[in-house]
Amino acid sequence: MFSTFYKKRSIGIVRRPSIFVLSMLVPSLFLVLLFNYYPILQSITYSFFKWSGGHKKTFLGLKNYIDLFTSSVFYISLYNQLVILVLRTIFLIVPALLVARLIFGLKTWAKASNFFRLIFVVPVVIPPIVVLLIWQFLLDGEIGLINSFLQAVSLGNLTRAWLGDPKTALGSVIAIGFPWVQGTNMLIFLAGFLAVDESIWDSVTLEGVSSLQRFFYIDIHLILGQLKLNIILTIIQLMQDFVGIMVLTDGGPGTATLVPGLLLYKNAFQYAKMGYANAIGVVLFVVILSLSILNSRIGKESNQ
Amino acid sequence: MQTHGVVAKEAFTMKIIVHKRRNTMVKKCLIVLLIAGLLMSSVFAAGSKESPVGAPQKMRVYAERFTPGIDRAISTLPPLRAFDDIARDYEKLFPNVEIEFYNFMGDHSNTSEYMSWITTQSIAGTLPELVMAQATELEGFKENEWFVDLRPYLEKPNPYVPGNKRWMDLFGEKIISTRLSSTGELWALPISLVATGIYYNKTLFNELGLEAPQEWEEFKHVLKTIRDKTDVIPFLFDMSTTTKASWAYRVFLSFLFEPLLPQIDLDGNEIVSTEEFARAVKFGILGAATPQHREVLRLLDEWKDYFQRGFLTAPATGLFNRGQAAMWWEGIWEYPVLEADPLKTFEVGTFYVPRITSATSKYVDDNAPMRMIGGASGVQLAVSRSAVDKNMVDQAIDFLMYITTPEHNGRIAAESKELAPIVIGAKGDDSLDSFLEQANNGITTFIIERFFSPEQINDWFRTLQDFLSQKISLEEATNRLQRIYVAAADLLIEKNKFVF
Repeated sequence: MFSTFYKKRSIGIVRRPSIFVLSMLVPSLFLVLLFNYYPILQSITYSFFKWSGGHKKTFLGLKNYIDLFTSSVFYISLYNQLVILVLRTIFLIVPALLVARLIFGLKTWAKASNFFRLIFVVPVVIPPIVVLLIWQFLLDGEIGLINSFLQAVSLGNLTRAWLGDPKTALGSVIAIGFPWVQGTNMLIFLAGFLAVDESIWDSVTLEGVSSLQRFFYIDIHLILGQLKLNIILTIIQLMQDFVGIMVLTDGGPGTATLVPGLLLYKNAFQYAKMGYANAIGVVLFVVILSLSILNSRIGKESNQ
Repeated sequence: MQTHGVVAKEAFTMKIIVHKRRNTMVKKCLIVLLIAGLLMSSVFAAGSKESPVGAPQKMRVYAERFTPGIDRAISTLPPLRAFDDIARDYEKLFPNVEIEFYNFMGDHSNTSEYMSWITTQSIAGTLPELVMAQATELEGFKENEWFVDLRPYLEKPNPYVPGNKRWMDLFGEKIISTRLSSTGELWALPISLVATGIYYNKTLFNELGLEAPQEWEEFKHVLKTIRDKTDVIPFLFDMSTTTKASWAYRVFLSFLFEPLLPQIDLDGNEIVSTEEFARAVKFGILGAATPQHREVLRLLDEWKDYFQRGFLTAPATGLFNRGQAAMWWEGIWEYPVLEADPLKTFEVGTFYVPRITSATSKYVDDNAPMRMIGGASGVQLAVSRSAVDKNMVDQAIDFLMYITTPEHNGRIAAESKELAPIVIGAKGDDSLDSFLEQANNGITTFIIERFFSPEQINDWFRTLQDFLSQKISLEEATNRLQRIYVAAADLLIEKNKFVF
């Protein structure tokens, strides 16, 4: 009876520590609510106002959204963003996946595996602005290395003002970071491969499946969770990121590289139209959330 | 019963243990919450330090390229001290005031970046009391009351200039009028004059037997010769930002609309006001749909063939200094840098934008004066909300009056050598005299930054970029620009209640 009683009490004792855990989380929760959720709610609220950052606000109802959805510049920026999203997602996911699989294949050769892992991860620590400035120099129409190389190999007719020509500016921005082996993505994929049970790899080998079949029909399915995670994170990052474009082209020439994030920034800080900028932010939030949910659903169906 | 007693005793013991453990956990939770509360209160308290009573009031000043101690463009240029010395002399007059020079660490020439800083600091209430800002860019913040309208103060006498009855008289109404907002406020006081010029590689010109061109057709010949006979970029032109695009546009507008000026500039002061602009657009005298404006676009389109590759997005830094470009249109602030550059291997000359004559366009008057690109758009100081909150507006204005005596204004500008003084009678550096001769003819009559809102400036700029990159035709560019002109005129009429 005592032991039963003790167990009951034991169960009671096991429940008690959760109050302590909750109390440890409260300060963090407070800060997250204050610095993350509260600004989001404020942003949604201000999107219905004419506001330039000061104390005066004029309620406009849906006018900011109507102006936004009737603005041709917004649709141009959305189109540019879509192109960047599709192409850069492919560029940032596929090479990382391939490299991770190749490094995984070296798992029996530890030194080589560690060496290649290091080589592909070290660039992650380089500040992004440094990378952008290097690429700005590479792509320069007059003194850029790419044009110099093309001239050196007698392909001078291919030289361009890469960032200054509306025909090539968007493509040049998308190509930044070649060969696009994103270190963090590669590590996540590699972790996925390493987490798979050895017996599965052994049975696959015994089945006599070809490498290509194995990659498409087995490997990808085994790391579907990691793939989903990387895609979601890449989409979120690409939708929010405009700093690169701001540094390289400032959305130009014309509107050739304008994206919604940069449009938001200009409206907020150059045109003093914070309310309108908030409306852009809300629309971006809805788009990113929708893409994330869609990606999650597709991943779930594939799992099933 | 004994068993029941043992169980009861053990249960009682367990209750005591549980009770003690609960008390311990509650104590831990309380300690954690207390620490969190103390941390948060110290974070919030950190931003609310107040100066002790009786301590000098601090006035922070960000004066851009006049800031004492800033890194100069070339390290061989001596550090600036004049403004600091003048500030210390001022402190002797007002021992309760301490002037601190603030150094903005970003790129003040990058409008996006600089305006972000202005906006965020203004929202936080931490902007320096006197801060550099382009007067025409602050108009959008009018309803926020972030900056003080300095126009009324210009009617007062400057006590530091004996005999002065109106502070305005030290500058001249015309030059100040170029900095007024579309509704007549002056949001930042100019304390320097800028001029521009085309720097050219005199050594290369001599080798090719060329001379500095005076007229546009000569200029085209020079450009063509350099392109055909050398690998050097004929003309370095940075159109990655609106600044140089605005210069070129304003020069062409001035030349091409000069014959129509009597119909536009009704008060005859050779500065087109916002009312005159709106009226001229509404009456069809001024605008993109006019034949004169089509000439502006044609001239720009022809000229661009001699620019460097990527001129629409790449800043043109360094190419002229390294001898890779033959000509470069820049401000006088580059002159001391060029002179001091130890890596420059050629002689530098300057000339002003060549005159457009009837040989280039039938809409031009050959006797029209050469208008200056420049004026009061150099260092301008705004009195920010911080000064209002600290009850320091009168002090800030007084300090502005102190630094805009001919002696002090001349000293500050002459030491920097990068800009000219603006106060009448102030003496700047001799090396800039040739640039300033053009000021005698007045500055360009059409200052689009006064007519277009920041968003309209951006639309205007994007349209020019699309046109010059041949993404859109002349017709499409004309239509888009005309819509901007009309929208700008409508907005000005609405804001000011103009009636024509």
